[in-house]
Amino acid sequence: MSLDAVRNSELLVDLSDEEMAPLVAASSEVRFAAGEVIFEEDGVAETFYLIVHGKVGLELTSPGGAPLVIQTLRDGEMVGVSWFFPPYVWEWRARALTETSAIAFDAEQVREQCKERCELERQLLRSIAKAAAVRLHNSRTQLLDLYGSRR
Amino acid sequence: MTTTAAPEFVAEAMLPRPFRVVSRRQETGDTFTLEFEPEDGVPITYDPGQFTMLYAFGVGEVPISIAGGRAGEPLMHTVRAVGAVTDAICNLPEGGLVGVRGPYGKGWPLQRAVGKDLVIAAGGIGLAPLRSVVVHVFDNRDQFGSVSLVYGTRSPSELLYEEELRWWRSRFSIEVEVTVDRADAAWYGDVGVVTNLLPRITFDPANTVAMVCGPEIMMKVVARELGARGVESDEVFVSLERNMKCGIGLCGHCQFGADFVCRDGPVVPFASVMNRMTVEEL
Repeated sequence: MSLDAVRNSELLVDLSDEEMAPLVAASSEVRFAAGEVIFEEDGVAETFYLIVHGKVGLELTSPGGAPLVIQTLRDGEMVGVSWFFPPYVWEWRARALTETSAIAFDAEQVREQCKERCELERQLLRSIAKAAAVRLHNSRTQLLDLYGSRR
Repeated sequence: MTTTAAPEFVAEAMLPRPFRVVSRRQETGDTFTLEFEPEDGVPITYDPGQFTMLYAFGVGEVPISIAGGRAGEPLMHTVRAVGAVTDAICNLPEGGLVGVRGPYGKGWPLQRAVGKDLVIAAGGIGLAPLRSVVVHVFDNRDQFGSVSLVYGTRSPSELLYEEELRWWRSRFSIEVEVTVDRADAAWYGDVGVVTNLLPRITFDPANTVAMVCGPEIMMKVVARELGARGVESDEVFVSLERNMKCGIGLCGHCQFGADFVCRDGPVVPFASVMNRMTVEEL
């Protein structure tokens, strides 16, 4: 796994090579076919992903209905943030909407590294908080139903 | 000193010309695209981004952006039925008559974009005033650098110009990215806000003109995101919508701060209005 592939993500852009080394050691390249489920809602968050190329949908499932895509993620974005916070359980289902290549990270290994490396933990926390803030802002905007009728 | 518009000019500008509906197509549940031919045979020449006042006889008059109508083509308007006048216009059959005044206002700064990258960002029915920009770009593709259209709407069933979107995308000479706020299971495109699309398109922020049209909150958010990516606010243009009545800057119904949107807009640099876009009830 090359450092460049990991660094391509905006989320990890502030990490130095030294800080990134344990992340690289915990990573592997993976591919998902279009339609393949990456992880399930309520599943244990043992692996998280950075999309290299492709499109992933975060879905909410309900009995008797088709899954509802609430957001799509594309190149350079992180799939899943629940791996960082107890109880380490996915809140959504993630599914590849197109053939997708990604970098998979062993979440437990990264969490263990964070216990020993404060700077790595701080940078990851900052990156995840930034991504979460953007997604919260976007979700609020979606809730406004801006394009709805003004009648 | 006060100035008074010449009476002849006012009389001419306030007189609707009859146009006949020559085609009508339903775009979404409440939105229709109509094409009109002038009864007197004299076509309207316009700049992309300008608007006309459409008069539904016996009902009332509304400002509607021009969606298309190059030389030799019918005048095209895309209208959303949101009230008595727009309901009446949308329900006009082929052969029906409307009154048309205009075109009015300032359009998109296409000359300013020549030689530069162009970002076209549309939200909902905001694609209608930008459609003629896209058509102009295809007609004059070599005048521009990279050109991208990002379009966000409520749901897949509320996409405007679906066939044209497919055609535009298939040309590969402009980037076309579409997202929806809510998707059904059949949708394999993007879900999320239109600003999510900006990191995925190609443009040089220092050499880019952006044209943005949609709900004002959407335009503000897109302009800010473009600013965060390095595009100067005076290179971002937005199209304002207010209660235009006369269309020629006389009545004041469309006043927005010191400007009359019908005369000084509807297309304005974001830099000139950004401070006003956070003022309540303005």
